[in-house]
Amino acid sequence: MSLLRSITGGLRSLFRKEQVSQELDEELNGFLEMAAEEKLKQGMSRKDALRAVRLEKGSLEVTKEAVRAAGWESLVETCWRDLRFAARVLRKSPRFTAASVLTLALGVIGTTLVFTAYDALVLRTLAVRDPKSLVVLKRELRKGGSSTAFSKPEYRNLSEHSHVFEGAIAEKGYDTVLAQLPVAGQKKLIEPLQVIIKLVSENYFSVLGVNAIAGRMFTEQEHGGAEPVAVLSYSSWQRRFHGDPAVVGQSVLLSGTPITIIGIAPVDFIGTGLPPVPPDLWIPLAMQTRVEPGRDWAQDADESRLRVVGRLRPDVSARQARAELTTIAQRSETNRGLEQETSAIQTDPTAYFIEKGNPQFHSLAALLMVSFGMVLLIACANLANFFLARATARRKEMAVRRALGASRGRLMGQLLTEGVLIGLAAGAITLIASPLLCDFIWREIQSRIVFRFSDLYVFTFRFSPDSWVLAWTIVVSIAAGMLFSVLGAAHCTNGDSHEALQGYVAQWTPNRGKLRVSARDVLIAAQVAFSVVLLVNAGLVARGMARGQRVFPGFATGQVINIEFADLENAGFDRAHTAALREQLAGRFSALPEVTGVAFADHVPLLSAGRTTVTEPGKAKEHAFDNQISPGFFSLFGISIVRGRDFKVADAARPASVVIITESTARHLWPKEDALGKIILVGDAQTPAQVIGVVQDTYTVVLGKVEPLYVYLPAAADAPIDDVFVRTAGKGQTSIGLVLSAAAVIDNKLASLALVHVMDDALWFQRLPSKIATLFATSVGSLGLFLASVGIYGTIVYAVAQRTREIGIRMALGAHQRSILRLVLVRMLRLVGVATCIGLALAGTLSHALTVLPFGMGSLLLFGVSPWDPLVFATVAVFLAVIALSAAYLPARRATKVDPMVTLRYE
Amino acid sequence: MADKPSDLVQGTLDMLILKTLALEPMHGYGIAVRLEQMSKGVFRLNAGSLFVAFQRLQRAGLIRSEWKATENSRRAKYYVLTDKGRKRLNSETREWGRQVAAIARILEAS
Repeated sequence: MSLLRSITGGLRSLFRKEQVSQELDEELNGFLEMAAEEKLKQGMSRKDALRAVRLEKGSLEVTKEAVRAAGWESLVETCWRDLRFAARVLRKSPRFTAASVLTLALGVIGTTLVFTAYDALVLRTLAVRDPKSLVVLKRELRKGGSSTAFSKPEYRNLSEHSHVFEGAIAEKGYDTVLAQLPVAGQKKLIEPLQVIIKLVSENYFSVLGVNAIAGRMFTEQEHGGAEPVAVLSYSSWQRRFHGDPAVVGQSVLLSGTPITIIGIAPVDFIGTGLPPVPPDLWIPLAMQTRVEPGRDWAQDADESRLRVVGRLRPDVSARQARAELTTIAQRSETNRGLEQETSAIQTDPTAYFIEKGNPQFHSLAALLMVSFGMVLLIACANLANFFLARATARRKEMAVRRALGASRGRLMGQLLTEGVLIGLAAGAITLIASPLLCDFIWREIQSRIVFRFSDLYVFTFRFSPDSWVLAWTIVVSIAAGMLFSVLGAAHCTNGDSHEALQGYVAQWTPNRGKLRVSARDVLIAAQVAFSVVLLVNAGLVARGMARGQRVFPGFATGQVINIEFADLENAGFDRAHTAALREQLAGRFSALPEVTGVAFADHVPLLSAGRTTVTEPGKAKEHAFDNQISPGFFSLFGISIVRGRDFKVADAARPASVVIITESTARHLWPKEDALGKIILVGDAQTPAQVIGVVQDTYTVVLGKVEPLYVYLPAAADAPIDDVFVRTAGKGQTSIGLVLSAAAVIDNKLASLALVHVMDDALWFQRLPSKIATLFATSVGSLGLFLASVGIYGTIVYAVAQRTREIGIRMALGAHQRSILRLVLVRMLRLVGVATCIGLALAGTLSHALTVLPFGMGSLLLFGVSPWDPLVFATVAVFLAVIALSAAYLPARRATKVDPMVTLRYE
Repeated sequence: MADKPSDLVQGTLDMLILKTLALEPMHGYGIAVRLEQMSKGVFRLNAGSLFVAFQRLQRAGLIRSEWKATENSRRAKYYVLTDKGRKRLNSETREWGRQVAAIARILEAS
């Protein structure tokens, strides 16, 4: 109640200032009059009486001021006055204001982007009920490694026999199938096109707690697949049906089976898998044989194709769950009379995009955070220097104001307000700029990366700072502004105001041979050192990446077209027809005039590689990469055969009895002998195979890295067709249409099943990480370069300009221009030199740390550039020295040109 | 106490103003005069502290004010004790008595 009265009273005096002040005047005047009347009665003259009263009771103005200052509203008024004053002061020095605001904003925007990315990639959770209680099951194998794939009987066994889950769901990876979708308002279906589907257990939506936004979700009652149903994803609903609600209840033809769309999933539900790509349709697992005719793997305990996600009961700990699940899995293996393969079942947390435990991602994230943190540090060092320089220049002003009666607290308050204003301005810029920047970056990424390969997969990913991140940036900006203004304020309001008033500002006196270190020197040094660390590392990465862009794989890419057929078996080309289809494809393609070669392979070089083992008889087993290829593969790609011969059609026996190896493999296995004719044992089955050829090394797995063991095996004639390669005489890109129509001649379906790209795309894909890293290194580098140059230049110019008067005095006393310039430059050179050396040492340490990043990330980033690359180190050092020296030279020279009389008169 | 007017004990001014107003509503000057009279000239009040105290008491809801004519037909702001103010005065008087007695006991004991 009294608080309310206090507030209303305060507000009244704030907003009805005139009236309140008038009332107070009247009341006090009355008081004075009454007191004076009393004196008059005692016989004083009126003038004397008033004087006596004033003496006795204190002056009227002071009383008014006291009453006004007593309420809380006076504090508000002071703050408001300070704000207006600060704004006026800042407007008067626009260069300082702009530099500080921009510096701070750039520093904060950098960190905001990193935080936003981290938030979007790691911290975001699945849009399901209570995502924290969901776990992904992972099987750890006795022979090493782990897998998240389970068979359907295993899934059923685990979910039915354990007591740790409220419910457990199973989902298969993405499948690409041919679908005929209904056209709005018409009875007919459109031409078949590829869609992606996900087979999930019937309890999928009920366990996840996701409800349909239209229609309904399928439930456990949907078992048996008697009623073929599907749930449409939101993005597919928008993309393929333009958000038409009438699609619910309509029927689609999936691999020839009619299926009814019964509901639409909410917009933010992307499923439970990584990456965040919602399929077009979710379909009950029981429908498997209908959607994938002829392949009944669901009942087979050896077909591990399902990812199992369970919702832990609230009273069950992760450890209990692991223990129980491990027991169940091992018991079932024993019951089935198998050798025990599972060493443990782990429960991993689910994630929207990147699993929190992913160490590769974490080292990258740490690298990003460190770099942008460094940008922020440089920005802060700049800011501290700006404020300090300004504070020094304002010592006289502050001294005058203190002499006029302002308390130190009030002055500090005012300077603090200036800092807050600068922080607010920087915060406002961040607030506006970072969502725009995020949007721009995401659109760039989408158009360049996501859509390059296939428009089937739609990434659902929100990259925009949320309100928490934005609030945080404002807080950081204001805090930085306040911190550095206080630093400056403490500097310019302390000390003897008398001294400052007289115009005497303590200045450096050059003690020859002895370096006097001031706070300013330390700041300049820190700024230089940070900048060196950042610039050197950005430079190293940029140089490494530039090198990465120039590496070629050692085989033809521009003239080779890769055709991948999705789901051939569903389209009716089952095992029995494969051999015939191979021949038809090879025949049709070679008949084209542009085509100079056709080959088949299991894996696409640079995009995928098979894994196998190689054993030299009598030695230990070694891991190796393999590819199963058809004859003509090497000549098609322009890979030369160094020794021996290519595969022949007759070699394609099963199991293969011949093998072609790379030069490195030959060197690795038989360093001193001829590899030709030797026998190696391939794969777990230890099939003996004779080396019939040795081919040139190429970068087939990772660009820039030759694998020590890589073997080529002949592909069997009736093996499933994975990838077809066509070599064209001209550019591959121009012949894609011809190749597709040739495929369509064999069967109309083939054209729509084919995923076609030129091998240049694979090269592009391999170079993508280095492209992104280059982009990142150059953006951090240029940001750091800009901030460092502005900061170092500004601070040094200011520091030297401060000495104008002193230089004038020296000149008046007969000093030579040259000796003064030397004095200033040598001192600056010493300071910057020491700082640069410290920076270079730190930079080397950090770049060395880059090379030991896990998973070869460092070698990927640096691409063979030495962490002590002299070119980068020297460039950065020279660059900073030039900035520092020119910043010192220009104002010093100007100072020596000033007429000594002017500076002396100023004194 | 010495002949010189002395300063008030910290925090007692509010209580004294409330006490003065307990008798009848009064304007600022009247309160000052009354306090000086009642203390037989021991307390001399500075206008500054007096009016700050009025504002404070008013905001705390212990007194309220109204403009009225004085006996000399001059317009003046009269302060009136509220019910809350009266209660506060009672409790503070009691508390004061307790404290004074305690202090007296301590001083006499030595």
